[in-house]
Amino acid sequence: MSAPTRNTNPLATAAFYAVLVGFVVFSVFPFVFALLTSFKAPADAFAPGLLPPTWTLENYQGIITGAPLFMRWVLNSIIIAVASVGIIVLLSLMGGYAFARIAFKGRDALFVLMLASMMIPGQVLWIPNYATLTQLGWVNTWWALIPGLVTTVTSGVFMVTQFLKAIPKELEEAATLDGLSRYAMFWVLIIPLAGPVVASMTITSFMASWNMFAWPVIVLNSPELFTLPIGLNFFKGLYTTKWSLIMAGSMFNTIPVLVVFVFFQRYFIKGVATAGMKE
Amino acid sequence: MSTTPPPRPYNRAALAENLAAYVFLAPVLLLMAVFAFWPLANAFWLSFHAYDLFSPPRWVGLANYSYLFAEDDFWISVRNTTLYTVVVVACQTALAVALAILLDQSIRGKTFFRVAYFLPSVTSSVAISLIFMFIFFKNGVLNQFLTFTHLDAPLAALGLAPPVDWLGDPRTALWAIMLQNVWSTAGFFMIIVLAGLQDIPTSLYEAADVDGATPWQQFVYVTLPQLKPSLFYVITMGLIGCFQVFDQVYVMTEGGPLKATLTTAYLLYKEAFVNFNMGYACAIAFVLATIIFAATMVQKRLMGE
Repeated sequence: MSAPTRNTNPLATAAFYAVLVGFVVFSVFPFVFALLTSFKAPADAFAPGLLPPTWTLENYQGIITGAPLFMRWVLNSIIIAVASVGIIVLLSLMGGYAFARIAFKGRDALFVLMLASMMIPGQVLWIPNYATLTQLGWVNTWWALIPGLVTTVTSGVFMVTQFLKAIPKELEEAATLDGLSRYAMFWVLIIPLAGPVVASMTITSFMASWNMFAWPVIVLNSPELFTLPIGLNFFKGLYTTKWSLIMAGSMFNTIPVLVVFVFFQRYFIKGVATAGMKE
Repeated sequence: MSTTPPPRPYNRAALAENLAAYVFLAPVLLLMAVFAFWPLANAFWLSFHAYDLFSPPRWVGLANYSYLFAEDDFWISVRNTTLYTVVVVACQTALAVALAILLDQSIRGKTFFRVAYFLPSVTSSVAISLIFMFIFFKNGVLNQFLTFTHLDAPLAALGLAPPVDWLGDPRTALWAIMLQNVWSTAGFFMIIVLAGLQDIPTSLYEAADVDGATPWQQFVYVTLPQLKPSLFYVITMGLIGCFQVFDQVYVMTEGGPLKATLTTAYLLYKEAFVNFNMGYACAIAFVLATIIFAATMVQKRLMGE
């Protein structure tokens, strides 16, 4: 399959690239448009044309100085994302190590059970998990977010398992002869090897935590505990007429992820592509 | 895999191996047990009870289910959700395949295109929903664009007099959310299809070339059959995701206007966390899970997996 090289017709090549670029415009337009709107004065939000009639930073100033909770939500989201990434990566490495490298009783059954748990539709678990959190006294605390990230942990375990299975067994056999325990091997041998898979997990779990909405909106009700997506939705309710302000708010939620993605896209895209090879 | 350690003689090393494995797995197993399997059983049990979270569950037998099947809102939500899923999965899969085939050619700037197409799928559903709300307004940029390109005339012929209030008009609201969904997921699935395409041995195309197959014949007889595992994954993930559509509805329309975007997941949320009909909401959840399971099974059968 190599149409453009076979096709020396410059017109066909031009049409081919026109389609590719056209879809880039479709993909990127909403971001660019929202970004441009965030520099418009609230009164100009719906003015015809894409560019601001007069460029202004008043929306950003309004958010940073005039909406005290907004930066709190940004900070909350950062704290929660950093903690989630650390925990998810560690638990996934531990679980994946056991599944990929240790022949233990019940391994295959547990692995199937784990894949099955990922297939349970989230909404089925909303109510009983909410009841459990009520009993634990965790509703309206950040601990309540844990159930919302369980599938991110299990898919991390899956990724690590696939990754470590591809590494030759001889590595540990030599280490066993040196008298290294499983626990020592995990830290000394496995963690240093796992760089690429840690990179893709860091990005996927950062995004899962940073973007998570349905579960946090159910379990958090105090505005000062909100993460950025819930805060943003709350913000929309407060400023329904100031759309350039809302667009500026949205930029706080989108730009960090876009930056992380553009820098680490290689690892991220690789992680997604291997997930497709599950079958 | 041979996981059974020799039963006798009693093996100290094997015991240590088993112990180590379970120590490593303990946190994940605990999370799965407490927040996935126990609640799954609990939800099933609750679906036969009247439960408001504050007083103990009261057994009502099949009443939640019989009420559900007699309830208009439930059927409206199933119709909306099914239409939504069929349209979105069909469009996003077709688009993912088309884009992947374009990017599988020897072209310049492949990484750039891949990143650009993937961007929408990494962003927060809330931020994206707000951006699309703004685009879809009656005086928003979509209507400005349609007027500018004179595409508003054919729309008027369809009975949609411009400017259209895309999310406020019951005839268009669900379709507007579908467009947003296809926009945000097509690039994600494209990556998976692209990985599948790159796995197809070039020798198959060379053989097809020798046999004088046209590009279209190559697509139908070589590419599509070889892509089946990737397509199966893409469609399954698409079905599961679409049947659970919630975030966009919550942010953009809250199920309105006139229940035009009332999806089953949103109905469940409202019954559980607004009306505190938790037992009834569990029944909705189980019917939804059954629909999702049935749809994936039908899909599996159709694709001969």
